[in-house]
Amino acid sequence: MSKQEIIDFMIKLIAEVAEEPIEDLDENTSFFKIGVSSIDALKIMNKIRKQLQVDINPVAMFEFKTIGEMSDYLLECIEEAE
Amino acid sequence: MLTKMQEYHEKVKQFLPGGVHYNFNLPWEESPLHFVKTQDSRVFDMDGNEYLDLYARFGAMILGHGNKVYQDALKAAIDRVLCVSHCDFDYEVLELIHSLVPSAEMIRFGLAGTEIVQNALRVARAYTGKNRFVRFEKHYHGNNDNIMGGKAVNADYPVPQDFAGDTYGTSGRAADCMESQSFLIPWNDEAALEKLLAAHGDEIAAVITEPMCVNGGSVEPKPGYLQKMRALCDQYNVLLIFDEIITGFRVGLGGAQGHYGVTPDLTTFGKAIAGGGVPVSVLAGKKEVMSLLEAKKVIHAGTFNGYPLGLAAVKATLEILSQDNGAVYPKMQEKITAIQNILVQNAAKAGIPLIVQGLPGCAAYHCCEKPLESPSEYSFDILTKDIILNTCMQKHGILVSSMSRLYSNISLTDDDVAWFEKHSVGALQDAAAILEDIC
Repeated sequence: MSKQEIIDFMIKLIAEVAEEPIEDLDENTSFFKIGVSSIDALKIMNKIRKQLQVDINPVAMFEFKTIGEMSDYLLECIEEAE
Repeated sequence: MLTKMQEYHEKVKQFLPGGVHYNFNLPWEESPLHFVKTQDSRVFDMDGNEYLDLYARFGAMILGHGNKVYQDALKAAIDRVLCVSHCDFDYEVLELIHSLVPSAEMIRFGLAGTEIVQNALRVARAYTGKNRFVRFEKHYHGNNDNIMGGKAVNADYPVPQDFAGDTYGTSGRAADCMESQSFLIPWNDEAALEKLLAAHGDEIAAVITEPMCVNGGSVEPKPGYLQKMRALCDQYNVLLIFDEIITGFRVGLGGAQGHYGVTPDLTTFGKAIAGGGVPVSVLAGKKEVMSLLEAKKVIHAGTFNGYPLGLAAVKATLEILSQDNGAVYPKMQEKITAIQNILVQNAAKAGIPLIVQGLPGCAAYHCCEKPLESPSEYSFDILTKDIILNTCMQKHGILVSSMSRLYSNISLTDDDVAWFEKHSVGALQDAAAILEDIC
């Protein structure tokens, strides 16, 4: 999976969970700025774990607060798992 | 379309960072409720919603909202002696605390819990001539740089360090202050404490602990654990500090130290001791230790220390709580226990595994099969589920404190229990649906 594919996956996921227009989101979008609630954040984490089949650190969203930062982290996790 | 309260929140956010008065390192936006009216155990927000208040301002609100005796005492102090450093009811307050708290041979006052914990550590360092203190995983003792968050990576020399994803981690922490001043070890683990004190007791001035670890999930000490801690501190010339900022006057008149029968050298109080309306923190301890303040060898300063409005609040609160030998406590515990039992029963009906643990008054629920034996077991997965249920309860008119604490107050009634019984059903159904979706 390429970084762009992960970014596209993340944008689609955030748009769905946070009910944000997909065209308003890009890799610089901050989870905090778009008003992700606690339940949204937990949904996002769990959907990433399920759909990408990666055992990511559950506290990742505490550290990686934009779609781009999270995508970089996910790419690392996927490459490590391969 | 935004509600009236949401519109107001957007205005507040222009000037108040994050729109909140406090924050930890959590990756989501906070949406505080702005209240317009309170009475007894109920609060009402700007949109006209009514809630049962088991949040109780982080546990400080123990008398119920609008307690007339308490509010009249504050008003009388405002009218008579508002802006002086010492007043004519200082002694009555000191004598009350001394009479109720086993460790309170002498007492000083502050404002915040954070500051009074630092004063306790300073006194302990001065008394022992040693520098480091020991604290425990998942305990919380205020938001000072030297005592908040971190993780120990080397079990043989367990100094805390910053780590990615720490809820209590912060940018801007002074360099090396955790590493140079403290050790961090698991709680409810006698062997870990014994090993550390045997190896490094000559560096350690104090062991600081919540006697019941409310911040780590309301975990009670294992039988004999606090007694062992007391004995080890004596053996290694280390002062034992109980942080009773949450448990003090909430689990009983003598605090957790009275309940468990272990007397520390120093105790910190805050929150409920002043009833919830005004801030007062307290450092209480053995005369031999506190005399360092009398001798002026240790500085304890503060413009508002012992301010009359605060002492009036402490006096009124403790008089109300201690009336008829603390008769309010069994009644309060009966109501909150009924609420806790209903939560467990309704969770089972909704298909959510759920337990409640901890002393009534500051117990917590956890969405798991069995009680936590150590705060270190309070995993992110359990925390996630607890937060989801907390959020769902708020939507259904029940406020629970962070993350899942059920703080009681003495004005709880059967009507409040009935409110909880009715409203928790929908909250648990909603939570079950979300948990099924994401877990």
